[in-house]
Amino acid sequence: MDVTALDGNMALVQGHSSEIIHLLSTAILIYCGVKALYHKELRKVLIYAFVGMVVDARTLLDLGSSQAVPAFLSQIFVFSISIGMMYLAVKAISAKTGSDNLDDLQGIGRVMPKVAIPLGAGLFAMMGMPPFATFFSKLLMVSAFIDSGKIVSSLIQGGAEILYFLVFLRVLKIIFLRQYEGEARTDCSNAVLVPLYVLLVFNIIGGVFPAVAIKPFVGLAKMFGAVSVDVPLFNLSWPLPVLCLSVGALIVYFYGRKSNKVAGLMASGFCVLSMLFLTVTDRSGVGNYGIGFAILILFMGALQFFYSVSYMDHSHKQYRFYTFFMLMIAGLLGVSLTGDLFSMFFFWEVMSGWVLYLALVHEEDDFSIQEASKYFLFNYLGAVFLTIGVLVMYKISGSWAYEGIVENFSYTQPAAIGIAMLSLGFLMKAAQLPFRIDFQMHPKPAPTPISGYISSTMLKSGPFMMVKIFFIGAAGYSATSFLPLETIMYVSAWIGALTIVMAASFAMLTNSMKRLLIYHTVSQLGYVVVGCALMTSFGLAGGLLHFANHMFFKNLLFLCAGAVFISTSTDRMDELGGLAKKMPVTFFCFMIGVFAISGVPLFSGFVSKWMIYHAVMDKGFVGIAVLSLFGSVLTLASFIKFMHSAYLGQIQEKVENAKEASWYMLAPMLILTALCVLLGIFPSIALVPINSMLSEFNLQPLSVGVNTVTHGADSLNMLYLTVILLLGCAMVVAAYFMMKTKTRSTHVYACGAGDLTAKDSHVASDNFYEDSKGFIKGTVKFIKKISGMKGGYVER
Amino acid sequence: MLSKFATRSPWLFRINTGSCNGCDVELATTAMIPRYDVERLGCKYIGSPKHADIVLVTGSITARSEPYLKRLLEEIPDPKVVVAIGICPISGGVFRDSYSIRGPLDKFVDVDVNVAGCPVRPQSIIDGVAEAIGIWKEKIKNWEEE
Amino acid sequence: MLSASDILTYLVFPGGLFAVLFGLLLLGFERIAVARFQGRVGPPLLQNVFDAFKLRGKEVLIPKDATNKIFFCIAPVLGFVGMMAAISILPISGVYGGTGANSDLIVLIYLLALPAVSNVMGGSASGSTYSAISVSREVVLMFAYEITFIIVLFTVALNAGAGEGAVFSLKGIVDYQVVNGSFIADPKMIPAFLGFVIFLLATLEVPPFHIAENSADVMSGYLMEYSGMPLALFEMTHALKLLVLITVLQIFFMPGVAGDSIIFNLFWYLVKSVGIVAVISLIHASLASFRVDQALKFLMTVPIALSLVSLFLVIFA
Repeated sequence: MDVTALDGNMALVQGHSSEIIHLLSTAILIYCGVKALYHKELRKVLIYAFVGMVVDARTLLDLGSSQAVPAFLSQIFVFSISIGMMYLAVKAISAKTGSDNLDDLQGIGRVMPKVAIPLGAGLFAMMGMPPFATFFSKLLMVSAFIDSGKIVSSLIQGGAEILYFLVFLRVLKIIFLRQYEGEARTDCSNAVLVPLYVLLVFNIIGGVFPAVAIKPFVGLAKMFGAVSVDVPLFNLSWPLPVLCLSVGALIVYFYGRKSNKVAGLMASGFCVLSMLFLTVTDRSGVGNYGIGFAILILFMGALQFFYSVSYMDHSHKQYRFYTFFMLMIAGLLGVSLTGDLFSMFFFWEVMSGWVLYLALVHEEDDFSIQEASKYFLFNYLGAVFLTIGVLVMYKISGSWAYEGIVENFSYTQPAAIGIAMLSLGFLMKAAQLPFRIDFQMHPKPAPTPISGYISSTMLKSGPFMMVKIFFIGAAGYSATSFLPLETIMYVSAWIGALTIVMAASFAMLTNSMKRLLIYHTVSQLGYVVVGCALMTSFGLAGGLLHFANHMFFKNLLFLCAGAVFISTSTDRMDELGGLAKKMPVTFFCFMIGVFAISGVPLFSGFVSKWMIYHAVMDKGFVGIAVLSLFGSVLTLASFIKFMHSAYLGQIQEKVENAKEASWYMLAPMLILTALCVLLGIFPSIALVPINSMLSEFNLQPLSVGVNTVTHGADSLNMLYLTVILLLGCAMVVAAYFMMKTKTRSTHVYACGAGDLTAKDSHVASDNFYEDSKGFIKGTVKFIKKISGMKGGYVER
Repeated sequence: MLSKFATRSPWLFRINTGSCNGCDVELATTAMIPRYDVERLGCKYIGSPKHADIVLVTGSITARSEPYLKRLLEEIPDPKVVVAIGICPISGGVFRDSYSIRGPLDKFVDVDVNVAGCPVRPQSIIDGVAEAIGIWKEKIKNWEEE
Repeated sequence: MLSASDILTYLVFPGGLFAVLFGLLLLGFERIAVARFQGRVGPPLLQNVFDAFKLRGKEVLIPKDATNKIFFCIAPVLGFVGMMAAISILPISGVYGGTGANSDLIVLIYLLALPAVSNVMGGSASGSTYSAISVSREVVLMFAYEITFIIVLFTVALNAGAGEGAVFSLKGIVDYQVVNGSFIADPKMIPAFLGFVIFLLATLEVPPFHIAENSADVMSGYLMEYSGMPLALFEMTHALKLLVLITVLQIFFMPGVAGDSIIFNLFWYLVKSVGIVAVISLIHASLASFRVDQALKFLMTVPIALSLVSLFLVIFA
């Protein structure tokens, strides 16, 4: 055999061997994932997961790039810490219970919290959530892939992540969320706990100070002979209000156990305190845009906590709810107040990760766990796209700060992919995408204050960031390279418009109060997305105005629904009826909210929708304009159903003992009601700040008067309209009193029958719109048939 | 002056208190058949007692329909005119002295116009309505003075 | 901000007094025309004015079971003021230019929805079962016919823009047609015109769409519990709605002027309105009503298809 042939064979073998290794590792990865997903013994589950993830990290070594080695090292090390911590915890638990079979461990986390907390933290750490060191190591790993230009591989990586995410989520559900049905147990002794908590503290320190988690491994990689290691600099900034709120959350956790009232008022107070800190916070890269959002976040938070004082009274472990809720708000605040993409992503994950999950499963029944898990999964999927997008943006510009990205941004193919990925992630956060709507909606069974907050405020982070990203994209504008961005914006607008109609049609079908409101959140966010995706000054202003308006009226509607839920303890509209007699103030607030959401003139939704339609037609997107206008009709229709079957009609059995909500609940509702009316008549209250934001995005400010909005030849003068409408009302009322009309009260006409029960003569929500419902159901069926999609919205 | 305008718009409401439907058919003819067109007088058959001005009662007021009639008469706004259509509400007709009859109509309410016949002729219905309009005019005047 | 002339236009002409009276007369005319088509004599022309006068003097009944009495009393006012506002922003070609602000298509859509909202709210608050059924029907119809209206509206806006974006200003649409000829003479717009007529019938609840308050099965529908003044208010709202829709039809499709003289133009406007009402009453007299599901099917197909045809013609031709 001659040498050349041998060389050739060797090369062939080598080529094959690397391919074989790759295939083999993929196979192991999937095998371990599936095994871990179905295995009963917890220790084996952990080992399978560990092996799988190590094999997964191994693919880094194939890259041979400068980032790969430190990424691999840090992955292995951090995983070992996390899995080790969990393994020790499991060992401690099984030493006590004598079994590590998952069937025996159901709900064990409830009775042995001290030893279970490290286990739970480890599970979240393995999902790659902040604030654990794994967050950075995973980011570094994806960064290494993207650094070598392998975006597709990183997407596949994301798929694997989701498999393992399901593994950990399953364990979490069994250990912590199931009900415990065994003998009474005591927690482990301190001696066992010490090493666990040492590891946990390590993990958290690594998760809050990225340098600790990354730097040592860079040095280590250099020792192994890597020539130049160029890892992205992870610099986490902690704006003061975020810090204040996070500390506040811990304080509430420890001192809020006294009573629900104390905890709620403390939480509300911390929101106000953070608002004061806003004045001293660093504004570079944040601008009025971020500050404005932050003010709204904290304002809504304060209202929500105040409302919870009364709402959560009958719940359990309120301090825990407040803590997670506050941490979520802190995350959201971080998104709005940080000037760089990396910190934004960190807080983004805090906001939509485990903190949110734990707040959503607060009621701990099967339905809320199921729905919250779906939403958690959807968020995780969105985060996968975001991870890739964020790192691509860094790769292109070499900077994390928005300003730096804008400076160095240029259009290349990866840049377009990065922007598309980010847009996709942000759209998913905003619950857009017209596919499986039950995944993208936040769960119904969560406590109403948090549902209202997510709907009104947290989901806004999607459009909020989308605008920033489009702005960055637009900065790299040149005649030839603008096309991808135009396309992305056009597609986003279409997604928004389709979502408006789809979600609003589903709202026509549902019988549950909260689900109806959540569908409408999805639908109304469509308007925001449509407006923002245009990136014209009028469109953006309309989108942002709707952004603010929607916060007020949607939260108002949620709070009203919560008040109804508290006093009747049912969520089904079928069982309600005649509430307006029992709860007149709530009904009044609700009606204002309905007028605002369906865009009746004088109320807040009208102005923003007017602006959005004008802006859409400026661009010539007729289809989008028709769909979004039609969505408005559907909105009105479904709220009429709500109004009639819950508040009007005849008083039903469940409503008989209903009482008006307490002042803790009414006060936030009335504040929001006032805002809905005020913003409807004087849109300039919001439009003047929005104008200053427009100039931050290099767009032409609008011409805004105190009560007017002008767009080309058309203008809207709300005060004029108000005066005219009120003048009409005054005339009618005057005529009524001048005529000295006599009034008398009689029975409702029922052909003279007097023996009908309230149930007989009430038209419930089920009986509404049979024909339209049939039409919508037919359409859904047709679409499912041609697209082959299965499943759909859940009615429960 | 206003009452003069007002009386040009009498809205008719029918109550059937166990009629054989003969009178009701004749009532329908006054509206439907071009020849008798009751709309000339500004009349309109309406479905709700709350809109009614002139109440046309047919049937001999059976025991079953008595509470219904009472309740309906309550639901009609003042000033109103009550017209008994056919012999049944006037006297009970052939059903008079039956165990199931609670009539005649003037036990329950002051009847303003009686239109006799079995069944009544459309012409006499229109005549009765015209007479009722005259009574109604007086009633409106009294009503406004109160 | 609100000058004396604004108030005058709102209260006397072309809004307010003029509109209410003219609307009521048109309703009376419609009743006569229908009667004549059926071979009857029909009521006097002023019939609906008489009705309003009579209702003013009647007792007002408020149902004991009304869930919210305040709401029950407010509901008719909402639709009435909405229509009063709508009529004051509509331009009449050659006579009145409309208000500068607020005079655009989007505002119009939302104002036009107000009477339906007020019917629905009033009917719903009264606590009557008939009203509830009629409310459901009203909204089902609204769901169907609004799509047509929206599409026609954008078609008109785009056609008036003549390839350079959309014109939302009502005055702009009128001015464009005065210069370039009415849209009714434009073959592209014929389908949209037909679609709009169907929409008009459905909104006015004239047969074949006399469904929500069909006296044959739901009696007076959402007006069931109303009597006296509030009912009169509903009647006047209906009259105003008729006038508003007829005026919108003229703005969209036939705003031609008769010359420079305001008097002539006003006369021409009145003649056109009466002509349109005559056509409506012919349809009213000759067709029976749909069932609600049939109406939904019809409205979701025919008028939408017609208006979409026009929309595509306008965009692509």
